[in-house]
Amino acid sequence: MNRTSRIPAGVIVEGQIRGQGDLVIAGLVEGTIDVDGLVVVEATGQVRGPIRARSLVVGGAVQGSLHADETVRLEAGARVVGDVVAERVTAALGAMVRGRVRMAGAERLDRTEGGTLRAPWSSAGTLTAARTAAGMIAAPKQERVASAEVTDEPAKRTRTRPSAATPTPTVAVAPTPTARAIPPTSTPTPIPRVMPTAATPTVTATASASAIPAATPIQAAPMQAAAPMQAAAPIQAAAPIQAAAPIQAAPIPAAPIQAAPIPAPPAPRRAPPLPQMPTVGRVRAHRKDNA
Amino acid sequence: MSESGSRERAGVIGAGLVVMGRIRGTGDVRVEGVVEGEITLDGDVSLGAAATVVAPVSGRSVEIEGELHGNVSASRDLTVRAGGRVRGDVRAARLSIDDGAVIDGVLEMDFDLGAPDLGPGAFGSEGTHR
Repeated sequence: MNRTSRIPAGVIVEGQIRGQGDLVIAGLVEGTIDVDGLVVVEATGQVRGPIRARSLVVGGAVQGSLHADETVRLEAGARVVGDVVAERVTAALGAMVRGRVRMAGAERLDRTEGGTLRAPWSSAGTLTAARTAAGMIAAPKQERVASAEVTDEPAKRTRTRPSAATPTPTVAVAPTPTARAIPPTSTPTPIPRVMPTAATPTVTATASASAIPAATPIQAAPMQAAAPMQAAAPIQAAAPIQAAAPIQAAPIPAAPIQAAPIPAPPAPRRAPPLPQMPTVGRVRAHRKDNA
Repeated sequence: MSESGSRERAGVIGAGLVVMGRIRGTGDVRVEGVVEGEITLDGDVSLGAAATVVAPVSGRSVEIEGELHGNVSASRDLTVRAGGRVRGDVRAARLSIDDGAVIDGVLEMDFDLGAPDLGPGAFGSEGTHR
């Protein structure tokens, strides 16, 4: 592999560290770390300053942000005060963190909220429909605002949003397109319980798979997977199972549903962090330009 | 013993069930369905893979496999399993994030950096750090 640099316990580095290769820190670093490889902060390691690397493993103390293009792993005993930004972030029980966490999945969650959320949400929606009828919908909590916000976006993009109450659009939007998308295969398959459970793991799988490659483009996939499958399941109206496959295979029927969220301006809110962690090479180049 | 005992008494919001309102009490609750409102328990809270919760959640230990929109607070462990999605701020005594889990929010944990070299500021209040 590449050269591996090591700052052993007892050694203090004050200043900036940057370059290529892996870096293992068992001592103390005060300053910025910007490395093109793996950075490991061992249990005895301490870093005061932001760390940027391809991947990061932290078992020691870091006071500064962690920014990895790929993964950040916080081991038991890790203490981090600072934001954590990476495509994937994992933490073992015993890792301590204070700061904001951003991961690629979160972006997708945020942006796709419609896609991701709508799925389970439409199940809620389906049920919400009943509540709506029962007039229970009128109990707007603060949280509901959040959910409405969430569901609004896709609703808008999917079709002109009616001026309905908060949850209603979800209910209306989600089932309808799905129902339309399904007819070709429509074979009512009542698997209400099994399906939602089955659907979610699928999402999971897709999500974690997607997390590995580039963050932005891939997200389209999980969305497609997530939206129709979960949407189909809770709706129960028509062929959840059969629907899931065709929709994924042939985006055409599903287009009304997913087409909207995907092409739409991605991550309006969360955009900033992503562009910051593209390919490794670019990061450095970028830095150089700045410097 | 008490584990199994409390487990038997654990409440379940089953899949297909929607709760709009507040869930509180001393027992454990597992959510497989939908909860909108608030969950405040002395016991453990777990959100199943199919769960959708839009609510602040607080409990002793909280395990999340499903989707949560809202702040979480666990007096003991907070575990976000693969597939678990959290959008909200997280406060826990101990935290575990599995690969494949997604959290979008601020993590708040009480701890010392435990690094004298990081200066006295490393100890104590959060305000010192930010």
